[in-house]
Amino acid sequence: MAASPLNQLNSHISNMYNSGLLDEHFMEMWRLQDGEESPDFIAGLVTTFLTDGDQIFNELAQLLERPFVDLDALSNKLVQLKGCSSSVGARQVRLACVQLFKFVSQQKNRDE
Amino acid sequence: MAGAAASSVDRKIRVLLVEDEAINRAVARAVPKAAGGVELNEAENGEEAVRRVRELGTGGGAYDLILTDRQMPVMDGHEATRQIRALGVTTPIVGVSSDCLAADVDAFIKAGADDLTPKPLSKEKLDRILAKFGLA
Repeated sequence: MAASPLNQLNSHISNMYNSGLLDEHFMEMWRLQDGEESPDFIAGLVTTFLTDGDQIFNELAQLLERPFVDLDALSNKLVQLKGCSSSVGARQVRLACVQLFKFVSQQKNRDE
Repeated sequence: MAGAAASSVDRKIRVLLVEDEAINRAVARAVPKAAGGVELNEAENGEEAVRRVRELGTGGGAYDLILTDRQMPVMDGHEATRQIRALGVTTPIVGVSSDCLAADVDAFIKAGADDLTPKPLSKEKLDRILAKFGLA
């Protein structure tokens, strides 16, 4: 018999956590979701992250396409994305931001 | 007195969250609900935070705690902290930031904040902050 949708969802989330895509903060948010008062809390959070994240990625792409890349603006966008991803527990996105920020900082130091 | 613990069971701890990102505000809203006994107000940038604090003054309606992001449009967390301190407000101010290197902590403290905690805000971090400032 096929697992219920909720069991499938729980299994999917566990897999994402075990593979390092999500961190403990997402699991804490998952536990905070109150079925009676805010059943759509996680769905709203993820939707907002995807929407905001998409916008930030577009802005990052625009900054990188310029002939002269504004490294300060790039850094600020990465800080913004890092904050959003850490708030939702998107571990891999957060780690990517850390790595990119380090690279941009090195570039800034080279240019100075 | 601003920063004093709730004097009765019914009085909630009034916290001002200063944060421009909607998702970070959504997460921060869930944390006090879990902690209990906290009334969360929100400002989307430092300028709005300064205005709200100025309007409340330092009397009984003042905030017990201010949590502020660093990087925000219009006015950032450092400048907001400086301006709030310039009003004579002694409410504990804690920075909540993605950047928590020693230099980031120093910058917030120099601006007048009392502490800095890394994002994301969690129940554990909020409990620790409330306990640190005698608000729990």
